[in-house]
Amino acid sequence: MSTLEDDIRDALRDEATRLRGVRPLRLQPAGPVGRQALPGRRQALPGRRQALPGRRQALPGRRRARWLRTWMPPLTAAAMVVALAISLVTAKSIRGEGGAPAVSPALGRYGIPRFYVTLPAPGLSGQPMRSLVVGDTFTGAKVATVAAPKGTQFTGVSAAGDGRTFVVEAMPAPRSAVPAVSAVRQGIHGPLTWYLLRIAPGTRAPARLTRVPISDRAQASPATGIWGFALSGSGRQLAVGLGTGGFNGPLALRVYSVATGQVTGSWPAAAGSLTAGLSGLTWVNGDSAVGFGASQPGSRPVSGVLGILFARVLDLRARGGDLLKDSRVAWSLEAPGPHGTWSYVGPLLGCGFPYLTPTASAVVCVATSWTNPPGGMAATTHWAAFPAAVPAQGRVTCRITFSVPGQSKAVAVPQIYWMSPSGDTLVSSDGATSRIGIVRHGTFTPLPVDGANPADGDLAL
Amino acid sequence: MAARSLNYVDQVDTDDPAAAAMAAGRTAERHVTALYEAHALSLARLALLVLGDPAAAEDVVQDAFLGLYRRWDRLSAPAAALPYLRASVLNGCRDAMRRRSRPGIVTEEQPLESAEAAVLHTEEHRAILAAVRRLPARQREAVVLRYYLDMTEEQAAKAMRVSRGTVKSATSRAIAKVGQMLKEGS
Repeated sequence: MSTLEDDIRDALRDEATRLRGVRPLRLQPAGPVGRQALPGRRQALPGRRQALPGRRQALPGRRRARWLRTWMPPLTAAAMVVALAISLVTAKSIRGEGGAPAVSPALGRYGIPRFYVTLPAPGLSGQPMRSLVVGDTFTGAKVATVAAPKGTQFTGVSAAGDGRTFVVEAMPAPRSAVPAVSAVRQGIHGPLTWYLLRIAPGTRAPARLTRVPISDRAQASPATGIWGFALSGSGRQLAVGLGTGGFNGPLALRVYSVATGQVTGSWPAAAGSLTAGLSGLTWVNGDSAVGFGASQPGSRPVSGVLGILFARVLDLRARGGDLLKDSRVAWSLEAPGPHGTWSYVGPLLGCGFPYLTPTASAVVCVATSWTNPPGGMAATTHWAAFPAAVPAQGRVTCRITFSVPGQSKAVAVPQIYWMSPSGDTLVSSDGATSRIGIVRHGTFTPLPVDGANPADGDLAL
Repeated sequence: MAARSLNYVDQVDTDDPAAAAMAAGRTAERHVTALYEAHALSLARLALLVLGDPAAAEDVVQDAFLGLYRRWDRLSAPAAALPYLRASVLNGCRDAMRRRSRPGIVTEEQPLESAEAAVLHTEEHRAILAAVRRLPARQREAVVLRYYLDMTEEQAAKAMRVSRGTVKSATSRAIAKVGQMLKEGS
């Protein structure tokens, strides 16, 4: 429901985005600096404007016609050049610059976003996720609950990392009880819809959901699965990993404009070229490149299944239309030979896909291993970081162990939800319970975040 | 980043007043530059919404930072810098609007909407912005602080240096007026 206040808020934010930058600050030498000089500079402009009409009034009759004949051709040419420049700016704007308005980010300790969005897990009942919850990362306070638009359920969420801007994925609510996130991953969803979620705590509309007008046939096919998606740091672009035909089927990375819903780039990968889907999507170097994890067949298996595990960076300026040719390897790992003793492979066993840090300088990952002592389970979760330049110098950055009495099987997969630019601070789940915490300097500090069950729910911040 | 750099203290030779003054100047420059990098764009956007003119908005922000630089040694605490800048930008906007309306000075033409802005703005947003621009200065400030910066009434009152009640009444009058203008326009 839209109120006048909401419309004013949206209009002001749109208008504010007209200004994309400011000129550099010019500090004058200390002392009696020209405070009077500045108003003078501003007043000089109206003066110049005033002079022009005066000159035009002094050109009556034939002189005016001659003036027009002399100056009309060059003025027309100049006007055409200006018009062309404006149209180019407009085209650029349509292609990807518009979209979510920039508001001041809401960040807390270590630059961690102040607000998170979670899709509460429906649990094993597989009830559809009909609402999302916005909460305060550091206090645990619930900021808002947003219901899914009629006939749909939420299936995933991604954050711009500013604590304000999120994109939510939705699909038609199922007739049968199927956990939604799993359904999407398996490629049995209906047509997807996407929504931009803006957070403005303390206002009458603390969370506003607006439709992102993506209408892409590639997403409408029942055979298509979404491997993952990531909203760019500016909130203006959405990268989506699409696949058909399971792990070995053809894949594509597509980037959409959040403002217009248009596909701004598509990079397919041929069937069989990647062996384990496409995941771990992150934006690196601002809005200019997308990092992703994947694997290729290799001579030696990693973890008994994979060949070469790698993280690649796709520069969005590349327009070749081939995911592997257009991206470069930022980090890779091939299993050692039968007698290899790479110490860092240990913690990587069971790791999901590697996540490139926003500066593409390192890769981080998390894995949990389980043992079965009598009466329950014991788990150890490792977080590991690998410098992109020297993968062999990877190290475990944090390790926690805990026992889970009365539980006989693992129910959670650890996830990394946020990382600092260098990757030295993470927000992650612990892999054994629904706890979410800060991983930093070798310690795991729980946050009062209402964690989703990572098997079915989703969370972003 | 900006907050971290605010903790930086120069090594100053306290026996030499000239060296101390130069070091203080360097410190102020570093702090103000860091603040500019962190907040200039959002403050310029605030000024743009109040003034409607990007160039004038940038001028106001430059003035505000220059003012902060000159008064750095009189600032009670580094944390006071941002509230000072915000209030300073709003003051600057009021001055700019007063200059515009002063007789004898040619009023700048209302800046034309760029092609880029035309794409971003829907018809409805255009009408709303036009209505907001026609509001009296205080009401416009209240609307921008409350709905663009998401400030509470208390925060807006602090920034505008008025009472909370003033912000409340200015905002509700502004909303009513905008609604009325939109109704008349449709």
